[in-house]
Amino acid sequence: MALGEFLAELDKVAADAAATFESVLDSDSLEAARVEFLGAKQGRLKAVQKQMGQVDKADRPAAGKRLNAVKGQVEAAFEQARDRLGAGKSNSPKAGAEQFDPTLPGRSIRQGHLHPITQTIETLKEIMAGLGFSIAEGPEIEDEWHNFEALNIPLVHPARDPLDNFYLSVAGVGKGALLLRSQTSTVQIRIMEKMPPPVRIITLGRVYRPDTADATHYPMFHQMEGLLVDSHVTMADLKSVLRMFATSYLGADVHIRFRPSFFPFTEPSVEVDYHWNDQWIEFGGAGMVDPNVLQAVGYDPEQVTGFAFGLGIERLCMRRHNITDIREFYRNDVRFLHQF
Amino acid sequence: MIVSWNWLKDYVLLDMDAAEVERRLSMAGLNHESTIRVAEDLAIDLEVTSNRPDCLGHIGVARELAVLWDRELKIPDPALPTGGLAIGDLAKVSIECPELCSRYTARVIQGVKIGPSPQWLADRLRTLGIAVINNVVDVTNYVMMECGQPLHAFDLALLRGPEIIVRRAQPD
Repeated sequence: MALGEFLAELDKVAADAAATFESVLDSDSLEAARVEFLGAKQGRLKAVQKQMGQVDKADRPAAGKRLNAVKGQVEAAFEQARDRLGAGKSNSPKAGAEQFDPTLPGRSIRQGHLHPITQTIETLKEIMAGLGFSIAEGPEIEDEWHNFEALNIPLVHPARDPLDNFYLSVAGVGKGALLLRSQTSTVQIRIMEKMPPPVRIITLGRVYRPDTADATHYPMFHQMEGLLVDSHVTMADLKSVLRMFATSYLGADVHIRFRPSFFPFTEPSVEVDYHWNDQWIEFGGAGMVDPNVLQAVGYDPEQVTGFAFGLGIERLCMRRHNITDIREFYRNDVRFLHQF
Repeated sequence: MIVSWNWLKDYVLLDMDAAEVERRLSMAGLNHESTIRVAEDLAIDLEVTSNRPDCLGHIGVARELAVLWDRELKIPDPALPTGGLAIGDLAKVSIECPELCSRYTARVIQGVKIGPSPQWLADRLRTLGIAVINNVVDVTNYVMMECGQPLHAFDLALLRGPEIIVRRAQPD
């Protein structure tokens, strides 16, 4: 086979391909054209390539070079056509009209949804409402009476250190000082000051502590606080309520245990653990309301007793969803939040 | 509060498993945080809540163990040798703010030679992660970790006068 013959064949394929790709109007005809020219088995370029063996040996490098050039041109023409169709920018207005497919479903607007912490709070509220607790709320900016004094944390107590709290500079530390609440227990005091016993409330909200953020700490986090004050309330009631809460939230077969601990506003105080994968995992603190606290709000500790507990909401949410880093909640990365 | 397993053995018989000790201490209010091996010893880290300062020393933790296992607590008898000189002639302590400091005790020890601590004492401090300096500094740290009482050694010859004055800071 003469070189000229081979090259003429190639040129014909190139010209046909250019014309065809230029005129395709939809993806079906584009695909048909691709198979016709670039098909790996039956394509016309492939057919020409097969004739290479018949070209004189001396002419083969020239033939091969030309073949590669034409192949490049055809591929470029295909890509151009594909881009043209893909981008919907057809030169012909008629083509645009034909592209419109009225049977396609409409594009829905992406909906936002509740943050995983908000979802957890809703779940906790439901569980506790089922146990007869009503929801109470309090301010996030607190005075020292509600955040410390009434909770049996006197002025000399190290928990009041300015370095361990977010005091507001407007008021200064000392008399009349204000701070971002470091615990939701403040709401207990506000409720008890306003109403006589019996009290059965929970409060859920943000608290603030100047911790350096790491996988398990964040300077702002959420707590659920529970308080029950009535005559004849005992630690058995506390344990029952927490056990019922744990089985509702974590599963019917979960076990909890109390470990002795210390908080200024409860006596005795306990840490509450639940059993998970052969390990005891702490999920909150609790105890019997200290008589000094009852006295501070004008209750008679000889007449009523009570229990209180506080649980970290992030920790509960992390456990349920196997989240290992608390900071993920507040990065506001939609790709993370979208998963809940 | 980090305690040394070998050190606790001075005060109470420990023939049980360290893991069982950790578990029962946790359930008695001294939450077990971690245990690491240091040379031939175990360093057991316990969380001591602010109502239990009595457990900020080995004797206090040993007392908990003695009660939990109903065993005898062997507290060392501080046999104090006394010199012939009257203390009033050697040094004085005055407290100018009794509302902040209700008690300050001092003792003069004469004939001290600064040198390295004995090996057994240095080993115990190392288990707790406390730097070993010399016999005087080390013994103050040792006694603090033994009974929970902080103390400090002053070189009497380097004080401005032979007197310790406890007072509030002065302006300037």
